[in-house]
Amino acid sequence: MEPKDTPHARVRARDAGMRLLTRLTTGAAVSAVIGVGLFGAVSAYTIPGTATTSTITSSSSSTSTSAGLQSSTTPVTSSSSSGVAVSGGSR
Amino acid sequence: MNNSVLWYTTRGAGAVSLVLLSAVVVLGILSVLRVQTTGWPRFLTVGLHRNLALMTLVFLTLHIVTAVVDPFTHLGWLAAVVPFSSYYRTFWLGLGTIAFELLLAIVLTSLVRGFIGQAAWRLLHWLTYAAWPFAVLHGVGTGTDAWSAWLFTLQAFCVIAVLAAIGYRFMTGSRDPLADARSSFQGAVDRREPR
Amino acid sequence: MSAPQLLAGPDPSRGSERRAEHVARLGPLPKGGHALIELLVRTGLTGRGGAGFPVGLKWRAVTTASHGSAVVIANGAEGEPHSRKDRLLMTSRPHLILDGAMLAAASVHAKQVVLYIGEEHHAAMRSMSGALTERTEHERRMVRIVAAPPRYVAGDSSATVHLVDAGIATPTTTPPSPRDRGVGGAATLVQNVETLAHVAVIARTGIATDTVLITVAGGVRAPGVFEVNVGTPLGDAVQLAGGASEPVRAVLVGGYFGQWVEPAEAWSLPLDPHALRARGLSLGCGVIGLVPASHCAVCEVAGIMRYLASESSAQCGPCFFGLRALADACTRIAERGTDPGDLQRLQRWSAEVQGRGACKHPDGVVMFLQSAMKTFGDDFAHHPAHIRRSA
Repeated sequence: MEPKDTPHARVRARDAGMRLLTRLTTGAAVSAVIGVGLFGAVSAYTIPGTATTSTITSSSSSTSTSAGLQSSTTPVTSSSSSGVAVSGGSR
Repeated sequence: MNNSVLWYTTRGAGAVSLVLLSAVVVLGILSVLRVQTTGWPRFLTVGLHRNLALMTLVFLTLHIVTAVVDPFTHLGWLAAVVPFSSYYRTFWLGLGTIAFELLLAIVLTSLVRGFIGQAAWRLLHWLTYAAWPFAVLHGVGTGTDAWSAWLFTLQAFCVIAVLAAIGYRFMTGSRDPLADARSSFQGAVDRREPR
Repeated sequence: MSAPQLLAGPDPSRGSERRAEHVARLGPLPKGGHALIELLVRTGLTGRGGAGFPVGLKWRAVTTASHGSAVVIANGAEGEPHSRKDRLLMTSRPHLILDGAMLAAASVHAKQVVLYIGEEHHAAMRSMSGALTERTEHERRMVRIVAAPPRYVAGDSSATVHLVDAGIATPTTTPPSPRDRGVGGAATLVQNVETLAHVAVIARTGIATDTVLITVAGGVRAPGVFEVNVGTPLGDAVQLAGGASEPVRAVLVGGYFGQWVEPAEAWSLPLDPHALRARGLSLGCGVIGLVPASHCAVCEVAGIMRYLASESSAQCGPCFFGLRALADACTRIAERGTDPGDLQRLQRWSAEVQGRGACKHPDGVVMFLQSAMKTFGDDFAHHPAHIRRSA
């Protein structure tokens, strides 16, 4: 349409580049938020002994209940209880 | 709030932070190479590098806050700032603290680059090459399920991406779009030949 | 207006003042040294190259960093396109400048003096080298003349050092500042030739000089260089230049790295570095430019932006690409007329450039543009498309 290196072509190219930057940044941000939920849920799923029925993660939609696992060994209470401080994981 | 939520958020945010940080490192390497195509101008690499670096700090903060606030970790705020002061996986967690502080220093100095000067900024920025491996090792050491498939894959992918970028940097000279302009200006102001 | 001090004596247009006359008029060269530095601090003399840094403090710093082998660079490159004062001083009062340079060398313990003169400024070159032959043997051995390329950034302090040191007139990143590590790694004092001329007078009188050299350019009847008392209203200086030749749209105070001012406000501005700084303005290198109302402000600004962008030394992306982006955006408005995205583009690219350059060039340009957008806000917002004027 126009020769490549005129001021006007450059302005348009920069505009396009800027739009791409905004889109990529937004995309990254959205993916990151989803990622937290996703990896959190996967993490919940893969750690033996910590899957609980009352887990409500922020953006994940799956809650898994495994029948028969000893969820009672992991005290799920919100009061400050000292003592067994195994938070969510066996070594 | 259910405490497991905090714990899962910690891990989720940690994983996301690692991915973001690896992307930041790769973009940083690419920006030095001055990669540029018609559809991807130079400022895009630099701009994305900057934006993702800030984003990394955000998710890193989330990772740290949820970890400390979680009553079951008994971590305390001290562990977030003083390396190797936690009772829990002291060494590996300490690496994370160090990585966080290095990153904080790098981002803050970038924001005040005008005050500290180019040379000082450059020197501090090299610390990225310390921060990233510390972050990876921290993930390997403190992730309970470090060897579970998903986290392992994720970490492997990040490491491969960064190593590939470093390898690429060594193999390619920079096709610098500025080179022509710079050498022509330099030629115009070069007074070394005897007249 | 009281008597000029730098241009006192024979009519400057008569050419280079000879040594004998210079000494007869002003007396012999005084001694430099610690006492002179303290005197300069007391008088509050500020540099006339554009930055306006306190001279005494600068000399103190160089003396501290000097180990007896400092270098003095008398900067007469005058890269600012409309400025003429440095050339005028060099062609008519070379011995004032040489005196100042020698006083500086004695005070900061320098063994070398470099006269940094534009390679196309032939009259200035001839005058300074001619004056040099009239100095003592000792002085002649210390001094050499280095020709500066005719580029805007060649007058930057770090560029002068780089040319003298490595043969290439490009600005370098600071730190380290030339004051600490300059030519050959030695402490280097870079001082504008007008500043050195002031020093030569102050050293003899023991009191502050109270004049400043102003170049009035643009839409005036008799553009030129005028020595005025510090604090003289800008309008008076314009009158010295024959007054405006047509109604004025705006005044650029301080050259291309200066600020735009509306005429009503401009006429009463005191030509005083400190007073201007207090108002957020800067005397810079003393250029006062009048833009006539018949000229399109946007087109003028776009033209200056294109020039400043083309004067980038292309050492860093933000400056080379960023200034080009800003110049392109201005040109776009000038040629095609304003469209909604344009003002946003200017804001965005300014933010991308500011503080990211390896030297001070891009920041100076951004400040110029921001001042233009403030003063000519309406023009930028509603510019119609028209063919770029050559004016």
